[in-house]
Amino acid sequence: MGDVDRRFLQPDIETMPRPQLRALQERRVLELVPAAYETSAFYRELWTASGVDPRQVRSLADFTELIPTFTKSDLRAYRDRTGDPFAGLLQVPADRLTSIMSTSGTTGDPELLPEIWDIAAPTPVCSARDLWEIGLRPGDRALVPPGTFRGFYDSFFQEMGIVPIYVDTWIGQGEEIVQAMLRYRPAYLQLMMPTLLELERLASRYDIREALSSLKGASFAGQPIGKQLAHKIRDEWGVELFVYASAGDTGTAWECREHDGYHLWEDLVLAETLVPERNEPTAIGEIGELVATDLDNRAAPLIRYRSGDLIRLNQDTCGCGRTHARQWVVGRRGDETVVDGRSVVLSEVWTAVESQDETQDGMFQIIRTAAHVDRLRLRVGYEPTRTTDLPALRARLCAAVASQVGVTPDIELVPVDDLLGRSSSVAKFPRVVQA
Amino acid sequence: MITAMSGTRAEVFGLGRFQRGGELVDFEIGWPEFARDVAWARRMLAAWRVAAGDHVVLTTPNWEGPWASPLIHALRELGTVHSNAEPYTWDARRTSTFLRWLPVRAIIGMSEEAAVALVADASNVALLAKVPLLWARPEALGVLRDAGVRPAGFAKLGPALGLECPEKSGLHLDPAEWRVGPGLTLSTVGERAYRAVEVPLGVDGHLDQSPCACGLPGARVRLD
Repeated sequence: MGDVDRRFLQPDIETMPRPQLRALQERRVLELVPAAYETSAFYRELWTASGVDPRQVRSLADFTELIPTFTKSDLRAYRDRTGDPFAGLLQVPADRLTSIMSTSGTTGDPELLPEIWDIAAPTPVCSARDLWEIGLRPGDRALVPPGTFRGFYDSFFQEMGIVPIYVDTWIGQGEEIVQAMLRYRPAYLQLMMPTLLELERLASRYDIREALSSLKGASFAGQPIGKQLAHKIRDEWGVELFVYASAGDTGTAWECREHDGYHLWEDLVLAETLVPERNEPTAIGEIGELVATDLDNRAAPLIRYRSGDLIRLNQDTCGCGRTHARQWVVGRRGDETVVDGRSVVLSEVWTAVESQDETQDGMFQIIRTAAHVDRLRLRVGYEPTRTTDLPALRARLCAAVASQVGVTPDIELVPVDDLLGRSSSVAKFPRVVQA
Repeated sequence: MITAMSGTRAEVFGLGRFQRGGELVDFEIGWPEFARDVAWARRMLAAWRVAAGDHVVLTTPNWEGPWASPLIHALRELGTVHSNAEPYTWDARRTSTFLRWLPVRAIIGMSEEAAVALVADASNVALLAKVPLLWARPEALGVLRDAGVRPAGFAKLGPALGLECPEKSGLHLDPAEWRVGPGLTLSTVGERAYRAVEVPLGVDGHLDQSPCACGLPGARVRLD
C-alpha cells in the first residue's frame, strides 16, 4: 500500500494495543510529576498542601490516587494572589517559549497557554491524524479556517502537503466562500454555525451541493449540532461533517469516519472521568467530568485538570480500528438548570426548538440568574425569511418545549443573526447565559 | 508535539485574493518569493530593533497569510514569542489581556474596530502608548492618534504589504519585488508566480521618492 493510500497517518500509534499505550502514558507521567514539582510553583504548592511527596508516585495508579485535581478557578486564584500571569504553571523561562496562545475566554478573561513547538502550532498539529482520516492528502487544497487565537494554520497545511487557500471565511463572507469553493475546488474547510446559516440563505441563488462537492469532508467545532441541520448538511448538501471538541484544553478530539464518538489521542493526553466534586472515578461509559493530563506539553502541562466538560468515555477499539479512547460530550458542569424542581436538559430543549421550521437551526440560549430558577427563560433565534407571524411561532414553541421538557417557558424571539452576534468567540456559542 | 506531518510539503506557498476596485483578483505565491518576502520582513523588523525573546501580538487572521506570514516566519527566525488575537471588536479583550499580563514589544495589524474597542478604556490607552512598535491598518491610525498613541502604518497594497519604519514617513515595500508608479499603481519587479502590472493600490496618498532616514531602499507610499 502506498504511503498516501494508508488509512492512518501514524498507524503504529493510532492502533497501538492498549497495554502498550498505557505503558507509554505511565512513562510520560513518571517524567512529568518530578519535573512539575521541581519547576512549577503552582503544582509544588498544590501537592504540598495535599501532603503529596512526588517520590511516592511510581505508577499510573499512584498518580490517579495521590495527585490532586484542580480547576480553572484554582489557577485564577493563584494568579490573583501572586500576580504570575502563567499562574505558576510555566516550567521554562518565558523567552524560551515559541508562542503564548490563550483559551477562548467564554467564561471570563482568556487564560494564557504557553507553547514550545518547531514546525507548526500545537492545536493545528493535534488535528493532523484527524485530517488524514477525513481523507486529506498531499496535493489537496484547503480553505484556511477563520479563527487564529489558537495558532496559524498555513504552516501546518503546507507541511501536510496541502495548499492553503487564503479566503476570508469569517461571518458575513458566505457568498465569497461559495465562489471560492467553485473556483478552487478545495477538499476541506472548517465550518462555523454562522457560515452554515449563511449557506442556507444562499441556497436560493447557488447550488450549494455543487459548490461543496469537491469536499472530502468539513469540520465543525465548538458546539453540538442539531439533527435538522446535520441532516441538511449530510443529505441535502452531500457533505460529510466531522465534529470536533476540546480535549480538556489539552488539544482536540475529532470524529473519525465511523462518526461514533470523538477520538482522544492518548499518547498526547491522559483522560480520566471523575464524579463531579469528588475524586472518585466513574465507571467506563458513565457520565463524568473529563480530567486531563497533558503528556506532550513541555512548557506548562496541565496535570489532572478538571475541565468542566461532562463526557462519556469508551476505551473499546473503534470501528475504524483505532485503539485510542473516544469521548461523547454531554454538556458543561454548571449548565444543569433546575426549573421549579424539575431538571431541564439542553438536548430536550434543542429537540423542541428545531421542531419548528422558523427555528430549525436550533439556535437558543437558556437565560438564568442561578442554576435553580422558578421559570424557564429561553432566547430563541428565528430565521426572518421563514417567519411571518411571531406570536404564532412563540405559541408553537411554547407548546413544543412544554411537551418535550415538561415546563412551559418564557420565550424571547430574536433574529438568528442578532443571537449569533452576541457570541464572544469564533469557536463557541454559549447555551446557558446569565440574565 | 509527537504527531508527524505527512513528509511532503505543499507545492506552492498558497493561493490568495486581493481587492482591485470592486473585484477580487486571485494570486499565487511560490516558495522562492515567500523566502525573499521573509528576508525583507526581517529587515523591517530589524529597523524596529525587534529581537529574540521579544513578545509580539499578531492580529492578522489566517486568510491574510500572503501578507502576514512572511512577518510571522521572520519573527520565528528571530526567536520572538508571539500571541494571536482576532481583529474583531469582541476579541479586543484578548489583546487587552496580553497587554496587561505580558511585556508586549510589538502589535502587528491592529484593525480599526479593535482600536476603537481598546481606546474606549483609558487603561488600554496607557498600555498601548508603551508598546514600541504598533503596526496599525490605515483606518485605525486616526483612532489611535486621536487617543494619544503613536502607531505606524501597516497596509495591504494589492498583493504586497507596506510597512512603516520608525521614521513613520510612509510605507516601505521591497523595491526588489515591487515598483510603485506615480499614480499609486503596483507592478511586479521580482520573479514571482503572480505578475502584477500597474495594479491600482486603492489608497489615498502619494509616492515619496526621497531616501528614507532609516536607510532602507526604495520609494515610500505616504497615506493622506
